[in-house]
Amino acid sequence: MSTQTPDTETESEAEQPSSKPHHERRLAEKRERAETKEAERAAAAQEIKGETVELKVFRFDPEIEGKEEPRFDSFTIPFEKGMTVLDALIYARDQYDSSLTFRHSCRQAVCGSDAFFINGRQQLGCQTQMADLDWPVRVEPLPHQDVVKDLVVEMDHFYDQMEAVDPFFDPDDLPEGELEEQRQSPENRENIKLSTRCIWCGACMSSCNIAAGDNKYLGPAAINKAYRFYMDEREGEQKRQERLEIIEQEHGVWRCQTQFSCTNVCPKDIPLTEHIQELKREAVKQNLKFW
Amino acid sequence: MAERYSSFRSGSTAWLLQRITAAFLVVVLAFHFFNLHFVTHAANIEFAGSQARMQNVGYFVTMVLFLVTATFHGVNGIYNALVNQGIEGNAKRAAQVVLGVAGLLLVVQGIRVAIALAGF
Repeated sequence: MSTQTPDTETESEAEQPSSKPHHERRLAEKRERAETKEAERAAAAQEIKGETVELKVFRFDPEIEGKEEPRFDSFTIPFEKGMTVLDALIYARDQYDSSLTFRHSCRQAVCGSDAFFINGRQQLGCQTQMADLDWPVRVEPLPHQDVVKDLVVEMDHFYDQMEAVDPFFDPDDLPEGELEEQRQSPENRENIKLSTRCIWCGACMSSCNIAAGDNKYLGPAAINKAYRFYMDEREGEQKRQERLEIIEQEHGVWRCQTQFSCTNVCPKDIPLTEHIQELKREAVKQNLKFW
Repeated sequence: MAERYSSFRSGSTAWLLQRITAAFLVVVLAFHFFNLHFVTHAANIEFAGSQARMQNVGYFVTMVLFLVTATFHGVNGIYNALVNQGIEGNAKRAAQVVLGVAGLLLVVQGIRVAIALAGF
């Protein structure tokens, strides 16, 4: 079960060749202790009262000998009502193998750290109930991203794409008074409401077939971010134009083939594909305008 | 895509044309199948019949438009599928040239055949 490399006794091998019996005795004792510990742990696993669920977790660490080959480890987790996949992973890490690595923070679907590939679908670990899944539950890192270790994937490319659409306000004019708010109409707020929910978890990008093949494609999250600012009435005209030019590049909105996989997996239920389509329409309209 | 964009290049025209040709093709393809597969069965299509149909100016114009739109839709579709796969540089240039030339040849030869059939 454990993926830690087995403890090896290296301390006194070369130092004291004369004390061989002593050395052997120590090794035997150590082995015995390890066996007892292992047996205790196995017994503890069997002793779990009530329902248990098997958690199969992807393991990989290029820096650790014995973990260079990707594999799945199985953990027996005591099931409790309301248990999420993240809870199960935390249990596995705390009780069985402290080297099990995954990102998590808020545990309430706000921070966007724990998007995993759970039973073949991109989902947030903290938002997914074990009870809703087919058992055994298989947890893998997000596909189409480089795996750093276990369930941790490289997010740099995703963040680069997010930043490529200039995700910030650049209004033409600010309100007079220093403490004056930048007002937005309720209707406009409704328009962009769903797009503001993005938590940068990367599930959409990971599920997108096109983003998998074309690394230059902005991806659903970045285009949604562009939508959030483009559609906001408070945005400045200059910036709106600049952002439109970014998203209507060849590898911008046009690469979307409306497969809706991003919309399907979004943990915040953002209608990503619709937002991309709206921006395509917007780009066409702006380019057709000759007056 | 992380780098800044240096130049403005719009894909909106191709995208819009792909959709307009799609809408046109749905209607004309339905007409084509209805006319030449379901009403007149494939086995009964004869050269003389084709010649007669092509002499109707409306039919002739529709068929030429059918050829042009279908070629654009097909060639542009394949090109975009390749771009979706992430082809770049020389491969992309080659795809543009090969598909462009193939499309052009198809349209030119198709129109020549249409004119020959119609006897114009």
